Formats: sequence, C-alpha cells, structure tokens
Amino acid sequence: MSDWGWVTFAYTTVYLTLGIYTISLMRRQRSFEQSDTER
Amino acid sequence: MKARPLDLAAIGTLLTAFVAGLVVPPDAVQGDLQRIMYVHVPSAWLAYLSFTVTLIGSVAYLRTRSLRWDRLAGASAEVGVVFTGLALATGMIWGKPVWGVWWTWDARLVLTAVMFFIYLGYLALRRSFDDPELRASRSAVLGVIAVLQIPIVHFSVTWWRGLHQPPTVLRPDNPQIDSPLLFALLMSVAAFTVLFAALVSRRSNLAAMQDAAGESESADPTAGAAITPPTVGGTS
Repeated sequence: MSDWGWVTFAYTTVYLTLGIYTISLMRRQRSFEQSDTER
Repeated sequence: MKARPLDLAAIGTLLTAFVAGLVVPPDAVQGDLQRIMYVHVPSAWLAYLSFTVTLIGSVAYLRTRSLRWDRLAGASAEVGVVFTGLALATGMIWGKPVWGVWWTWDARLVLTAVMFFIYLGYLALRRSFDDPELRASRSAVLGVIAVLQIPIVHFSVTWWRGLHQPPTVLRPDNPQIDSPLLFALLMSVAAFTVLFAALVSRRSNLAAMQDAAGESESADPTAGAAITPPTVGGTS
C-alpha cells in the first residue's frame, strides 16, 4: 500500500470511530428524552 | 444561533484533517506517512487527559460524595478508552509501513495496551453495581490507583529504549519539530480536545438521566428493543 493509503486508512479509522461513538451517544440521549416524555 | 460544543468540535476536527492532510509539508524523513502523527498524538494526549479527569472526578467524589463527580469520572473514562483504542490503532497503522510490523513488544506499546485494558476493567466494574453510591465509591478507588500508569506510559520511552520514538514536544529541552508541523499538531490537539470535552459533557448528561430514572449504566434504554420477544402469529 502507498504512503497515502496508510494515511487514509488511519484518518478513516479515527473519524469513523469518533463519528459512530458520537452518534450513538446522541441516539441514547434522544431515546432517554423520548421515554421521559412518554412517562 | 448559539454554536454547540459538538458543532465546534466537528468543524475543528474536519479543518484539522484538511490542514494536516493537505496543507502542511511532508516530513523530511518519513514523508507523507508522518501525517498519521496528527491523529495519533492527539489520541494519546486525550488518553492521558481523560484518565486525569477520571482521577479528579474520583477524588472529588471521595471528598464530597456527590454523584455528579462520579458521573464525570465515568464519562471521562469511557471517552478515554475510545481515544486510547484509537492511539493504539493509529500507532499500529503507522508501525506497519515504518517498522514493518503491526505490533512489537516495545515498552510504550505494551504499557499503553495495559492501560487500555485496565480502563476497560474500570468500565466493567462500574457496570457491575446497581446501586449508584456503591458504584461510585468502588470505582473511585480504582480511578485513583489506575492513573499511576500515566507517568509510567509517558516516560517509558525514556526509561526503556525501544522502537517507539522519544517525546517530540513534551520534553525537557525545546520541541524537536519544525514550526509548520508543530502548528498543525497543536491545532489538531486543540480540536480533538474540544471534541473530548463535548463528548464527556454529553456522556455525563446521559449518566445523569440514567441515575434520575433509577437505572444502572448497564441498563441501556436502547437495548430493550433488541430483547423484545417477537409477536407470535402477528397482528393482521
């Protein structure tokens, strides 16, 4: 793999992981807020 | 409209990717591969910072017995585990083309992996108690003890000379890095630190909601959907 291939691999790993973690936190928070409203 | 910390963090980290990936010149020795440093170093820095925040939250809880501090400690540890995992992953991705191997039993690598697993254990410990007070007091003790690893991890490259390079910026003499590269690195560290603060704040808020609802951290509200038994016969 070329140098740029490794760089792209590293950046994709970081941004994808942080993106998925952030979205999962937001979804869990929203889910809690909705269940609170329903209660 | 007021900008939220998460929006600022998103803009900052994306701008960092642009500057670090395309604007700053490549390194004289490692060429473009060195650009991995702009995501690897902030991840390692945030691993240190997050577990230091966990220490602060743990000590503050033990002094005040306020669950707010315990939630901060837990939130910071969870985000810290994510960043430690990323530091390990990006280090391995860097190591393969530069060292020729994904992993080597170098002191820095091994100690970082140990730190990663100890904080995974810390998160597992938090999930093993239903009573928030019990969870807070037990995990606060581990939160105080576990932080002792940070200086050992940081100075491991000085104490035991291995493959991993010694500190470039946080060293007793002047930083051994050219100005444009240092600027991009500091920009990256700043952007990822804002993201860290936004994530810890969100995670703490979520933990407060869980505590208010009387649920332990193990009781994930979204997990219920996965274990709902299917309706037999259906309703047509």
